[in-house]
Amino acid sequence: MGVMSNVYMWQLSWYVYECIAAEGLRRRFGSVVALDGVSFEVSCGGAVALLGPNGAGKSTLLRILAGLLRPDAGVARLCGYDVQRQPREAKACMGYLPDDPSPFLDLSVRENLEYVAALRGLDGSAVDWAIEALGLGDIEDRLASSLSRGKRQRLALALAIMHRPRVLLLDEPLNYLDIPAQEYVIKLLREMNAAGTTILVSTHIMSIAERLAKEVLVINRGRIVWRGAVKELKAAARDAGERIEEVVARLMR
Amino acid sequence: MNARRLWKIFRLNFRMMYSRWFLAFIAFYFAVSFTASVSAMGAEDYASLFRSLGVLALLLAGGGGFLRVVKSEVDFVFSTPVNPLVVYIAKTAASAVLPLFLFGAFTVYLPRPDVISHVEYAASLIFNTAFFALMAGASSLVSIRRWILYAASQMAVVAVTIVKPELSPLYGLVYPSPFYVAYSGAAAALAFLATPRNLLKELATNAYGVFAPRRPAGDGDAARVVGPAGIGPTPWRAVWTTSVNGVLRMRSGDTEGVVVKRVNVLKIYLPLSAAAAAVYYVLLRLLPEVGFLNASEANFLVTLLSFYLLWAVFMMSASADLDRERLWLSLAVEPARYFRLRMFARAVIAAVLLAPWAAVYVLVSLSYPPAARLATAIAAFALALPAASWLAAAGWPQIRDLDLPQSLFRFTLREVLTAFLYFMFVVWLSVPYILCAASMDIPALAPLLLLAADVASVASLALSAAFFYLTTYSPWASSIWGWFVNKLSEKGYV
Repeated sequence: MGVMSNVYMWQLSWYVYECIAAEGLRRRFGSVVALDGVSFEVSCGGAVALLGPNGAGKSTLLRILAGLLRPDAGVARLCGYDVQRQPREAKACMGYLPDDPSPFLDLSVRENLEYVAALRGLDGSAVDWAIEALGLGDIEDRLASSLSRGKRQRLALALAIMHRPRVLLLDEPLNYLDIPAQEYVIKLLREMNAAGTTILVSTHIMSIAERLAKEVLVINRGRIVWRGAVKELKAAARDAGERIEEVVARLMR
Repeated sequence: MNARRLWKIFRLNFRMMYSRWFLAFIAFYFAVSFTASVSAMGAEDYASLFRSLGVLALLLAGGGGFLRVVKSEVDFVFSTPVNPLVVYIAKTAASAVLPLFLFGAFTVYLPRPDVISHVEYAASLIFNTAFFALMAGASSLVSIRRWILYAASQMAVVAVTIVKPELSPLYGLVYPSPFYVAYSGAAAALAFLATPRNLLKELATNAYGVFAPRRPAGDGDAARVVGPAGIGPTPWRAVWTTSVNGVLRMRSGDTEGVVVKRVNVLKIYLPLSAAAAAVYYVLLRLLPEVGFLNASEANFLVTLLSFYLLWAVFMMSASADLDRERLWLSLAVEPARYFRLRMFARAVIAAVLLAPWAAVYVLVSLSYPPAARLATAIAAFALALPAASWLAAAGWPQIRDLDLPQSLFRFTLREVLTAFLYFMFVVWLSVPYILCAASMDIPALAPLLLLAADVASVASLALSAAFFYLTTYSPWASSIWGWFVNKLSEKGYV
């Protein structure tokens, strides 16, 4: 019994070491190659920004990791679970914010959260926490259809994080948010990361990547073209006498 | 999953589908149906009741599209560990409330001799409701081939309910018995077995793949019918090109993505409209031959029903294409100008597609003069249809990325009132025809009735022309389309 327990713990610690793993992911849409053999991993508790030009394959990669799109080849794992073979386990540990998300427009803010809580088997305290965490208290009874795009984005973020997932996949999380809301969300995500949530965030804005992530993955034409620490990018920019955006733009070419 | 969670999922889907005022209306309708089902009908004369049940079943069969998967579900349901089958069942159960009330409103007050027959009635009501709700749910998900199969099975039930009611599972709603409980139960079980489980399983791991628009096989660049050269250079040319090249979406396989391509609506729908007009003409001649109706009934009823059906199909189709509208287009130029051009283009298309019907009514009028009045009514209809259909659909969800609606179709009191208003409109358009037909049966009043028909025809045309002017050139057009744009924004249009 003790040996079995040790083996189990060893397996668990091995899985837990890499909370996000992609091995040889490929995906085509007709003649367009969206992903061409993407492999990487993110350690548990890590925070990685996914940078790349439009059409580079960022959203496709996040959708495959979220178990919403089947790759033509390769394996995606979240918390050690294969998202195609063990989707329930993988999705239980993951929160996903899509690009241009659409909450349930004919439900109130609270009802949106209650719906996803019911789907995930969470109790009412998760709803209350999400409302508090995203500052939605003053609009909790308003229909989502009556909210501005920025408030809908905050609601969508609340839906993605309400179960306090171990892995958070975010596609342009600060879209539509005004500056105070951006600051609020960045602070919240950094706190979640500090508390152990692994974050993979796709963004076009380097300053956001710098503040949210410790590492950067640059993707172009479906391939990872560079990976390194944010510190390395900053050092490269300093050495070349350039802005960090110029260094990233050169990497994307 | 425990019952409490299931109930919550059901309750919130129910909340998304129906507004409180709509439910109040349904309850009111249910209450007043007592008069219709008992006092207006002799206990032994249920032929008209079965025809009504058949028409109701036809409407329910035709309304299955509102249960489609929506973008919010892809974003926030399929990314959770929940089994999509659970959500599908909860949604279908929520959608079943409407047919349950409607079937009940038609039959619940019918006299029954004892408690057993009440129990048999209740079971038949639940099973028949389940059959139509499950079929509608499945039809909204499956490929075109399976959709045809499902539609055919529902149409078979509709047909036997009208022609030979004792062969229909709905018969048990009027004459409850253990046999009809078993019959409708078997129909419901078959409908449950027809649930597209493969597709639902696929949604758990490949929702974006299932709904991703894809180019038709072997179509190459031909799928891009409208290139920049075809759209320009004038605003009218741009609006006309994007109006006449409509979007056709078709699911060829259950899990293979959705084929989306632009097609010239005149090339596709003009032959269909002409073929439907020809079918009407053949039926008009055939039904008296086979003894289903006498010649007089056939002329009056079939012609009137063809016009009502034509109105319903055109109204629904013209409303439904709003979901492809891109709000930023209308805001790129002054909205009133944009919508004026759009309404012109839609009026031209409507006139062309309705032309075969005007021609066939003129042809029929050679032997049955009242039909000529419907040709005039079609002219009035073509003028009112473009703007009326979009204004009616102002609360309907937009279809954007993934070719999915942004939200579920929601039944509100506004939809009921709008449907009633438009039904009154088509009744008004058919008044000259009815007056003219009456003049043939009451020769003594013929001059008066024909004069009234002339006045009503001219009034219909004048009012429709005035409505067209109001929504295009008048100073009020800006206010109308301003309201419309705001309404679309509220529904998440971009």
